[in-house]
Amino acid sequence: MNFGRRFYFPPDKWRERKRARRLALISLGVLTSTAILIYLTLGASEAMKTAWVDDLLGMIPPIVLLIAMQLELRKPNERFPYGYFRAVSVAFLATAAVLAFAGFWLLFDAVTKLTARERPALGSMVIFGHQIWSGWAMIGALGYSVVVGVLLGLRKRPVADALKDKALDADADMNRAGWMSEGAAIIGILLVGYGKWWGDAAAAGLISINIIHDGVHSLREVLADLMDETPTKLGGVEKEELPKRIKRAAEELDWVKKARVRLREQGHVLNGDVFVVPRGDDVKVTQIEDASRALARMDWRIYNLTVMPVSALSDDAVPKAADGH
Amino acid sequence: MRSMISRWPLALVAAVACGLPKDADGALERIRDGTLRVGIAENPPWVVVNGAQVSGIEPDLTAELARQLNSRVKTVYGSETLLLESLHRRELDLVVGGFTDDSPWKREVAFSKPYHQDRQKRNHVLALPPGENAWLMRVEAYLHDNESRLKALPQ
Repeated sequence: MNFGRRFYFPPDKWRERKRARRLALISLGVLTSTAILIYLTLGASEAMKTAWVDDLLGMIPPIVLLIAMQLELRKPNERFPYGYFRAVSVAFLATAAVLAFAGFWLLFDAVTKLTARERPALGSMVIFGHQIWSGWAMIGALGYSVVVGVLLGLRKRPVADALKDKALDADADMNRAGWMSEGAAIIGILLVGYGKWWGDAAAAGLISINIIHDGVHSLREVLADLMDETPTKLGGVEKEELPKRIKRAAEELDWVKKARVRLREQGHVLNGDVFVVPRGDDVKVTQIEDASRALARMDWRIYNLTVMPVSALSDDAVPKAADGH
Repeated sequence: MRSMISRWPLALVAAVACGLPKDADGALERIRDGTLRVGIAENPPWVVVNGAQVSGIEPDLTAELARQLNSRVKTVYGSETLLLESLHRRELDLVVGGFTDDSPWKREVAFSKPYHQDRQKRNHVLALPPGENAWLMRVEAYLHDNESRLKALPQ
């Protein structure tokens, strides 16, 4: 089933999309390696356990993103006549939920540790016959994890920007949450090494507030998306100019007197309606189809753009804010 | 920003260099040339109490460790529960009682690395106060130095 046109990613976006997939796969590999490394040095440190759980949670966003990117390319069918593009929104929802959960979990963990006045015992471990403080091994494992986390996050941002991919952007937030909590764990272990037993819990608590902020912010963004919010810029509530530009372009057509536009983001693509009031009663089907095609070309993300001639624009047909009036 | 992120761990490591870990409560400094407060919970053959006479594998270990640190041993007798509670409050420096690493006290006190595996495949450990990590390191260094002898204990 396919009404109108099929959606194709433009070649440059298709390359970015491939890059996003590759980054997700690399993330999974790297997170597996850091999870194993941290698990091996885990010991009695609560901060290390927190970092480990953080690593495991960090695997969820790339997994759901990979599944969603596989699904979104499926053709519309009888069961899903609008296609599968919303799968990316679902991935974004999962990622935002994980991010928020990780933050709250970290905070809860830090507060219980502080109130229980637990003093972490970090003894020795023997590597190649040498006795060393296990804290150094933990710091080594965490340091590796911080470096790869920073690098992954830095690589994901530009791809997320190019694709206007909010799920990937939230995944980069998750990487940042990961390396920040691991950095906090390093500081915590050093403080414990200096005999300041409250160090790691206090550091983890401070970082968790930052992660909660990111998570809640992403959740609000994805819930707004699922509420068919007008397209917004990455990581914010700032509205895009696109609906306004489409309205202006529609009104420049010689047979159109007035136009109103509403758009919604559905994963990587934009869908919506253009309501037009024609100058006369003799509108041809080809004129409508030409207009729809031309307007859809204004942004690579536009998939289904319905041009609907109406005799008048009533205010209850389109919310005024949607096209900037 | 990027360079800052990559530089601070190096700076930290350079700044702290060596001498870690330290004790939260200064146990090792107090014990060295001072007093080692040891809790004794009977559990033959690891800890054998015979009147005022204490013997067994773990009291022998304790005596040797105290000699190395030039400290005077002050012993406290009691049940495992009372002694480990005192240890959790850092009123003792060491409790011996044939503890194994599957003990439910794991979160309340700091157990050393296992120094011996017995015939029932249980790993034997010494109990230390939590958070006194320099002291813990010192005890584990002693156990590590005597590794081969302790592994071969006939139990």
